[in-house]
Amino acid sequence: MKRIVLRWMRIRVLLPLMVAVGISAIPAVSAERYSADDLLSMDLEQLANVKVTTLSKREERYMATAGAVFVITSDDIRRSGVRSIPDALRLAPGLQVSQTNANQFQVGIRGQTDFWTDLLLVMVDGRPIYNTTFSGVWWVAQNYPLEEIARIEIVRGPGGAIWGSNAVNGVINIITKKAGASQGLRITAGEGTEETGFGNISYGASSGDVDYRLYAMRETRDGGLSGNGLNDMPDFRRMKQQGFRLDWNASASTKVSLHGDAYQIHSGQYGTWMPNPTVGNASNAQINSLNAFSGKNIVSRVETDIASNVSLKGQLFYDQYKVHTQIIREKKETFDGEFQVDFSDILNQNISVGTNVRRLRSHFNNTPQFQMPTRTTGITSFFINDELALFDGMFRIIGGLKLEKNSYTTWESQPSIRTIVSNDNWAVWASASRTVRTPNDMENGLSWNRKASGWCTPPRVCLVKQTGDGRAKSEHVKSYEVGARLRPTEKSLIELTAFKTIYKGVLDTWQDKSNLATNAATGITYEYLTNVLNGKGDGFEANFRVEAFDELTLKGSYTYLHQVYVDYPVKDGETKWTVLSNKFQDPRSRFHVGLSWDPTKMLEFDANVYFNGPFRDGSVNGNHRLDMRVGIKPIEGLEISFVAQDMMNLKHFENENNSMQYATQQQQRWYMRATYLYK
Amino acid sequence: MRLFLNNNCRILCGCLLALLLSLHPIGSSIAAEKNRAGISDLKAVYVFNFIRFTEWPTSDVHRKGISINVLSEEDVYDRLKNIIAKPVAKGLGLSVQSCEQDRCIRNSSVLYIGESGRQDFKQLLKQLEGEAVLTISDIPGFAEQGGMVEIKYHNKKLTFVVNLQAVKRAGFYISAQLLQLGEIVGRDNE
Repeated sequence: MKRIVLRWMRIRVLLPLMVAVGISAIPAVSAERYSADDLLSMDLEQLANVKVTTLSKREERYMATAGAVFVITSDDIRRSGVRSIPDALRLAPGLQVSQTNANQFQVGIRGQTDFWTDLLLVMVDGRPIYNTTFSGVWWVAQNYPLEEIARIEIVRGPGGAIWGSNAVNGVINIITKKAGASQGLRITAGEGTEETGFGNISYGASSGDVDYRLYAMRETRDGGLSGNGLNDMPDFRRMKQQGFRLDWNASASTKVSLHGDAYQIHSGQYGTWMPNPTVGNASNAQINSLNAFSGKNIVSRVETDIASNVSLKGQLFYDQYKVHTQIIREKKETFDGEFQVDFSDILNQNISVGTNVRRLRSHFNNTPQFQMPTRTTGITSFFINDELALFDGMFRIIGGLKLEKNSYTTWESQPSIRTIVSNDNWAVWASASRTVRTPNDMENGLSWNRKASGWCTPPRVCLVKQTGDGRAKSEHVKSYEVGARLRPTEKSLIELTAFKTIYKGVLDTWQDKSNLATNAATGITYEYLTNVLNGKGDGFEANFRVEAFDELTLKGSYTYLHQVYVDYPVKDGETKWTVLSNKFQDPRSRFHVGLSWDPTKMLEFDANVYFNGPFRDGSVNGNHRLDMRVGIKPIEGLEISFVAQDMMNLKHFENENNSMQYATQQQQRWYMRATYLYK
Repeated sequence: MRLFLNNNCRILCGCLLALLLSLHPIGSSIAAEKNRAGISDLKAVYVFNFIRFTEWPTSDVHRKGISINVLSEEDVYDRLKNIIAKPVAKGLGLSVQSCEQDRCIRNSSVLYIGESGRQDFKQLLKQLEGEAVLTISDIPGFAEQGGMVEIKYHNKKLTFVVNLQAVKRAGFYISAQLLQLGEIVGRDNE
């Protein structure tokens, strides 16, 4: 109770302060752009006196963003030759992408990269795709025709003050093209040594003020190789997806969009399975199994200006997915409503307030090995974000606060303060934030039987029951960042960010050894999901992009990460798995260098080199990867690409085995792809 | 844990308070006004104004409306699309399309050529010779090389250049109000 009172006191202190700041700042400048209405009301003489910025609104926002942001454009994706969304993320600085087998990816930002990575908020067009079951992403199920992705926006570092929980180490937002930007009939087809067949078809057209697009895609991917490199493994993937998008310019100031997708995926896996999890009989079998993932979603969004400086945004979505793996069998439905009001240039500030309500219905088909309750949970949140701009917009301070509560937590606050000094050609920024990683479904209801080792002397067979009994609390994370960006010329950009992150209460498994005598007698010990580690991570990220000539672009990045975790408060040597997993999967360094060259108008050449390593433990020391692409455009609308991937290795393991699947070797691979656009 | 939360709150409140105090003394010394625009926003508004101050030689535009084709310039196309939906533009019967190469000439009353259409513009102008199509572009030297109106970026502002010969040859009449604010090339005596 005292805690709640304290929280309310904090809010009561904070809100009047923010309002006071607003009122006191009335004479200050908010360097806003003229709106189209402003410009249309001017006469020609006035127009001739308006100063312009050569940056697009997006570039301007980018230069003035007080955070480590990066945008992977549609053209970056096309020219890199990647065939999946996680592979495209390798193009960004600070992201660690690794592939355990042909269909399982791990993506992490600033550490804790793992299949169970739980510190990222990943969205498609504003719809979160991380699940609240284990706070991670089933990357195998996240697909979209790559040609229809407008860009992928990545925020490294905390975004909790706006986006809320899970946006601890970063936010990835995959943004698809508006229907108006993909008009005509586009057909893509390709085949390769591992990408054994893929294609998609999309049709976009307009009717009055409504633009629409329909698409369907299908892909098959071959499995990897066994450890000895002689056998094909069963980790293939076959996927189908269909969808639509509709954008309606209801009026000059009201935009409505409606989009939806449905997918069906089958993949194979080689992993362990315990058919009979009882004391005396528990044994791990190694089996090939077939996984199925399916889902559908529909999202509607409205944006409207209700006054010249007040705009409203509302979004409703429904999402349903079904996962059927050997271990986890779940159906989850999400109903979500989001509402935001933006006041621009009010009291010379930009203020945004918003709220979000989500309900999730989760149904588990339990197996003897893995059990979770069927239930309905919810998340509710409110946020306020206030931006002050001074000195012709050169100096900005942004304060934000998000209050969030889910079914397992009380109200959690996530404040952040950011400041930036910038103009069109350079920026220096700093930020301090506090975010939370809130407990998930598994930490509140899991019972996962596993075979015991160590304390149980063979030939006796004992069990470890991994248990989520609700003892896990929110993990609190403080982050500090400083960064700079520079545009030495109109067509070049250099960015540098340094960060320090302090984690309190990192989740891990913990075996209660105090009941050793009882455990030995029953043959069962309990392993709890709870907060048992404190950690620190620091490092820096640097990236550049130079359009040296019209026909030559160079880009690249370097990331350095240093992490230290200590077991706290219980120092019994049991809480080592997260630390080990970090050592296996978070490299100290990673870099990427890319080149795009257009020798003639009809010919494109691209090369991208990626490196990550060294890893501090495990059998994988590091990975080199070289991808090359030649693109030919023989006639208008037609593009033919030849792509070679992983050219520096004939075959290699990119990651270790994990608790879900065994790793397989990834092979050197080639494919050919043709795209034809008829308008 | 509570100590951590309170510290954090104190830091945030402290920063906001510092901001509050720092704004008071300097507040009155700086003016509150907007002073710049996105280059594409301004280009689109210029295009709209060029159309407003121009009379077409044929009566077709009165009957069919004015069709604006935009080549190689998505930003300006997006802005124009928004402008033509506004009440101020409704009476002019405007429509706008994004187009590619030769298709740009068809059914066009105004052709806007973006800078990346630099390679094709001379050929397009040749094909348009004698047609009542108002050609506008931000390609440097566009007006000197036969285009009708060139939007020019100079000293962080936008100005424009009108090629009078090209305008008259196509039978357009451009209001003096517009001409007196722009730079003129191709006068009769030049």
